[in-house]
Amino acid sequence: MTRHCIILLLFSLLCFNALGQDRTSLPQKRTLIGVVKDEAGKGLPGAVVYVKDHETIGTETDKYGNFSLQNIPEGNQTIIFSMLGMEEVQIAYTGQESTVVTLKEEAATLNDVVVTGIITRHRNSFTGSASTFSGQELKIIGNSNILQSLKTLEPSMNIVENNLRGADPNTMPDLEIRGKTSIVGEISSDYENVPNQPLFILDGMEVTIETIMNLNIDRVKSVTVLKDAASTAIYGSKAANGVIVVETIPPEPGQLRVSYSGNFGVQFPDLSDYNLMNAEEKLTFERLAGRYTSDNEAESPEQDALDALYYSRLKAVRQGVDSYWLAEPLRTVFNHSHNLYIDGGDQNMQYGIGVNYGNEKGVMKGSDRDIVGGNIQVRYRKGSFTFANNFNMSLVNSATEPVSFSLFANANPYYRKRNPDGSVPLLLEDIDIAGQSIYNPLALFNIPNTNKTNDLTFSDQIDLTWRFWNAFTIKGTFGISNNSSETEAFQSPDHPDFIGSLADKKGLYTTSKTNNFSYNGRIVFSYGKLFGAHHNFSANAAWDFSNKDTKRGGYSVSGFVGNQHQNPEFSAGFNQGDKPEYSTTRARSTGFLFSANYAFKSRYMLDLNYRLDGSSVFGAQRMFTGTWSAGVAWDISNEAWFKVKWIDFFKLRYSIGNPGNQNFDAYMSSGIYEYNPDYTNIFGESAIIQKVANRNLAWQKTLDQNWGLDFTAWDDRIRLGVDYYYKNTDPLLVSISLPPSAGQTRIYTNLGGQISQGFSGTLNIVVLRTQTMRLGVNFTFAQNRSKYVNIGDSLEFMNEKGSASVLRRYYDGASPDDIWAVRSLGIDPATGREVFLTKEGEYTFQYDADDEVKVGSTAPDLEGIIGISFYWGQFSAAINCRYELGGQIFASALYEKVENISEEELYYNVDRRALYDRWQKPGDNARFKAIDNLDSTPMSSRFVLDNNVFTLESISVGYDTAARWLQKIKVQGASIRLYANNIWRIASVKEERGIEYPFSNSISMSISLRF
Amino acid sequence: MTHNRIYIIGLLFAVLMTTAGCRGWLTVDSEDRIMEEELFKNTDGFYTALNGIYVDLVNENLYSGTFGPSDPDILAQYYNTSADNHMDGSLALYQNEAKRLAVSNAWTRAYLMILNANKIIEHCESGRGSVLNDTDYNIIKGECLGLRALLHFELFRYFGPVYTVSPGADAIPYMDVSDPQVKPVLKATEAAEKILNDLETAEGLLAASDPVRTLGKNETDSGNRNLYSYRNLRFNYFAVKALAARVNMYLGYSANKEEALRLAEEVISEARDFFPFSTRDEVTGQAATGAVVESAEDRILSSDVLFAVYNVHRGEDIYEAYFSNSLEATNLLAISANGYRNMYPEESDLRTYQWESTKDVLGNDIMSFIKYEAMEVDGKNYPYMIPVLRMSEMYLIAAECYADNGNDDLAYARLNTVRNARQTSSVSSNILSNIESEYIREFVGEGQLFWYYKRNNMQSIPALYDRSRPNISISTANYLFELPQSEDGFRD
Repeated sequence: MTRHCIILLLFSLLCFNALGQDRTSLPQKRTLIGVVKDEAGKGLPGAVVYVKDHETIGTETDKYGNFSLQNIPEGNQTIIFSMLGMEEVQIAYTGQESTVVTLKEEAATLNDVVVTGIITRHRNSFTGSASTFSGQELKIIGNSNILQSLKTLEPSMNIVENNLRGADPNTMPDLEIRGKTSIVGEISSDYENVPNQPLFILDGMEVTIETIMNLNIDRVKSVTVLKDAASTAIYGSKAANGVIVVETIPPEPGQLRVSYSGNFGVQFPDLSDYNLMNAEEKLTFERLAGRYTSDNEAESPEQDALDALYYSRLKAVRQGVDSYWLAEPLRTVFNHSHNLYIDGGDQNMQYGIGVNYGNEKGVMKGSDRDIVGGNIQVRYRKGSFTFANNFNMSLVNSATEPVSFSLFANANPYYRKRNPDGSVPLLLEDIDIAGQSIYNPLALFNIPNTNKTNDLTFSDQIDLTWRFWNAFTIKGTFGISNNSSETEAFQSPDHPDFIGSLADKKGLYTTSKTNNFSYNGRIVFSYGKLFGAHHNFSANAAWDFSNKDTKRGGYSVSGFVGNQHQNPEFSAGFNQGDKPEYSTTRARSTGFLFSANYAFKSRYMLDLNYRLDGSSVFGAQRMFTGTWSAGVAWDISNEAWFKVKWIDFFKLRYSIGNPGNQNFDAYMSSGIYEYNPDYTNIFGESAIIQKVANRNLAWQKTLDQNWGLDFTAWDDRIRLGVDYYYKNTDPLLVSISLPPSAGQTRIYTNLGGQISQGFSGTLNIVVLRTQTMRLGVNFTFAQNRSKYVNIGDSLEFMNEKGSASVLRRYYDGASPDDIWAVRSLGIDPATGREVFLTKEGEYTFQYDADDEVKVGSTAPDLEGIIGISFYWGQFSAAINCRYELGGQIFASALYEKVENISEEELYYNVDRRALYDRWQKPGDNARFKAIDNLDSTPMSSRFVLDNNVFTLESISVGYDTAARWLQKIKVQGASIRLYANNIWRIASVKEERGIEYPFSNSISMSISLRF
Repeated sequence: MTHNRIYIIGLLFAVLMTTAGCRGWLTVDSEDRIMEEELFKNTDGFYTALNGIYVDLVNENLYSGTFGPSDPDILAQYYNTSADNHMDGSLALYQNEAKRLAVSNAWTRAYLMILNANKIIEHCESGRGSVLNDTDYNIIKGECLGLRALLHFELFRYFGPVYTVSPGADAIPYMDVSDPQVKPVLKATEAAEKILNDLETAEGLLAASDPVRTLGKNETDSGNRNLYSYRNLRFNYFAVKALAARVNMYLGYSANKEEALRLAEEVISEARDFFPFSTRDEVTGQAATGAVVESAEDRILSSDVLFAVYNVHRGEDIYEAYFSNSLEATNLLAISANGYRNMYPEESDLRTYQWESTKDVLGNDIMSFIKYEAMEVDGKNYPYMIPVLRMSEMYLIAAECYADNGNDDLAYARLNTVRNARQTSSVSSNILSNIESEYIREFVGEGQLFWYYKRNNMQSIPALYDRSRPNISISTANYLFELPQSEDGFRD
């Protein structure tokens, strides 16, 4: 560690030294003397003064801002005054002797900078791959949350569709930037990090995805996505999956301003992907599948009973019983959120106070999420010193639905929902299927089964900036945050889970409380200077630290007499042997960062970053890991020889680096013992192996390279940004299953490697542009591909183990996205059996795992957004559609709900295609096996389908106005915008989506008013 | 001037970085985990790891269940599982799937414990002299080897063949390495040899240092983690030898029986005084509390137990899980009054304290097995003990061996020692069937009877829960268990 520090220090000193050299001056000719001042009238030291087109003739101001420019060539010249962070000034020199020049601080617009969270960089000199979007841009797409809008704007970012939890407001999205990080095999539960989730930074400090989701979209100033090694290196090993940097709107000087924005929306469930049978169809299907045929001979009492059951159901169906269960737990909800912000102040001091409230009801009854937030911002500036304090609080209350949606999807339509007297029966059918009866989901819905969480967070952050020497800045950031979250769950004693339990075991109350207290800080030393006319150098050194203490506790009690009293006081007590849970953990990390940037003539750019990360471990091995990156860029449009007038900007970038990986923890190679807190004896402490040491395990290393191109032309009418990346992970970390006799069922080892490559890009074209009108189209695209290398046949046993039930295989050249299965020719019309194709191309009825080949890939050939935006005066409109082309999918709905319906599953409702598309009699040309075949079919290519999807992700129309009549009611300006999100989707595969929780569509509106 | 300032800043930064003392700051203690290197730094850590195995042996899949009171006794037809939907009904009918499921978790857990033992053995070698003195080395390594043999033998009895019928059949993999790896399934002969080898090594190590040879159980709380006391709760020297006798008896060839007899006699003569049989006063609680107190009864007859595991939650883990009369009838393990009367024809039998006449939830009269009911007696360990090896088995092994080589007088003498100790009368005829009856009475809840049947390849066994029912026929195949699914999936 100390050695690293010294190297860093030496390196930094060398850099300062090398660039601090004086330049030699030429003999005196014509001379201009003067002073360069800032807006406050103070002399600016270190400003560069030189003659245009004679770049060797130049000087620098002294510490009072004075300069003397000598040897100015003959004739009229242009003198340039420039300084880092200030706007350049040019004056005409006609032989005058002195001048006073005032440099204004550069008012950087969002498009000119890259906000990395630690350092703000000029986009033009940045060599990494990053995209920045403003709050307005996000709001044109949608008004629900930042990530949903970001998904539409940034092609390399993807929100993995959660087929299980659908549109549940309390489920956090699963995010990926540039595809998946590689690990072969399953990740065991000790690596609890969401494997592909990027790092989130809010106003310079690391936060959780929940904080980002809870952030009101109207508070956002900008969001930056950092993608490649050069741009993420400053976050070191945490940043392997990319970084999302969010900045909130700071208070602005001026008179007291009040702004309000409100979002209102209607959300309705999307059941278009459900394709369930109606009562008649289900009954027919059951009959054909043999549910009403006894195994015994035809003239047996069992057969008579089955006949009676069938005919009674048939009678009911004929009388009109056809229960549509799906709609029962669902609702159309009205959601709204409000943000009120007051800010103002003068040049020295600004303040802002905001409050916000959001109510997000889920489309399933009972699921709910409420957010109340407040923030106070103060900024104070005196001379070279800036102080800012940012206080935030938020309270989130959430509740989950009592019954999974799948129970409603499973209920047979020929059951009556209610008895003739209107009461809701608890049992639908008194039958024992794997120890479970079939209960009426509607009745379950009415039995209290609640799970409520409230989560209160306070955080405060102080920023101190001191520009203590002209080119030097020190910035300190210190934050403290406390979050307490309490979950209470109650399950009624009436719940069927407790049937047969003793009275003191009926009903269950569970509570858990988590408290997170964290503090963190960062000190950044920045040095930036323009040397001569062309050497732009900046360097940053930073130290940061963070500490997080988590305390968790909870307990369960049971034995309730009813639903009146759901509090633990009314329970019978702990179950025998139960005890409260309690745990505390402390996690600490610290890091040192050095980053340097050099630009020559704004044409050639170089970035170097090195970061040393340390994180807390309880044994003292491998505390620190280093990450580095380097980047170069060439701005061709700034070259003197580049004379193509219609090209505004043309830059090529390349970067390389080794991002770490936060998913693989520091203990991976160490042996760990776990104490046993549950059983004690008279021999003191006891501990057993939790994980076996694997000393030969090497860190998974990835070399990430990125090539990029930024291009604008015809006065910004065409804007193109393209990135290509190539990631080589070698060696790969492989998680291997072992037989239990080995003592461990899973170990990690190194094997082979993985190469991932892909490209993403954004193209914006302005088709029409006049004073009042603008019509543009935008197009984003992305592709990710990966393959294994050097694996050989060492994972052959995993391939064998997975055959017929898992689709992924490990061969050299195989991709993690590939789908492997035996090729199927469909169902033989004569016999109803599946015909397979062997590797040699012969027909067979026999399924043999050896015949499997690659039959598709889940990675689409191309995916992205096509959109149109239109402005006309105060009107604006945008349409964005997502496309996904050329991938395949394993149709699990077909596999599970059409083909593989087991004897037990016959008792539940299934996909309509199980009746219409299955083979019934010789001669049927059917897609699926015989209708009365209840055996399990192995996975074959029959279920692998092309997956082309087109989604209308966002439509929005807006109107901005500052009309007279508004001013009469003291409104300075107003804007209103209407949205429709995800309202239409067309897919080549009909898949049941939203198994436990359905998906939803929404139509919403936002209003912003400035007073 | 300018440069000086830069240097100062650079230095400041360097100082900040180094004085941050990051290393110390980053070192965070964990309450619930410890690194392997850290643990084996001192003798105390070795005993912590060793105790980890002892504590885990009470797992529901090991001696609180599959190796003790539940599965083997169900298989031995002690309990009435003939009711419709009884959760153990198919196991008692020796259905393959039920047998496979019943033992699957025990397999996984036992091999995890074996890995723990192997790890300690590995560290014993590297820590010998530097961390461990000779006594601790001998005791820790000896106990680990013994436990490794014990757990392998438990699995061997399930998954191995009826040894006298097909000794060359596949049994189990024998794990004697500390890295998780796939080892071949050994033939029964090979596995048995490995088990006996480990026991021999363990015996050698413990012979030198185990205080049990001079002090016996030494049931005194000595503080300091009781490292050398309560030897009956550790896999001590006598337990190792007794297990070797049991293994040899299980293998059943005449050379094995000779060895079993030698070992059993050695244990009897050396340990007899340290592990005497329980007296009536001890069993009734009189000895512990000065009065006959039901809640202080020593129902496990703990005095002659050579090795027991110690489960503080014995009542919940065993009694409440299998035997409590408040269990649903389909989950309950109990016998009928008829079964009870036939099992204990003499009322004076001390083992009748293990039973209680009561009613189940449906109101039927049953005899409930209360040996492992939760109880609390100051200063006594027997409320928490689950016996694994006891002296009485040594006498029964000796009796069986003597009967086998025609030495009837000694055979009856050994058998009657046990019978008299349990307050029942002596016998003088039908030696083999009387030994079997003694096995039936002596080891209820300890899982030995089924293995007695298996080693003798019995083809017909009594329905102990109700002797009015006919005997149950059992084939050799019924004694065989398939490898668990989770293991078999990896093997061709």
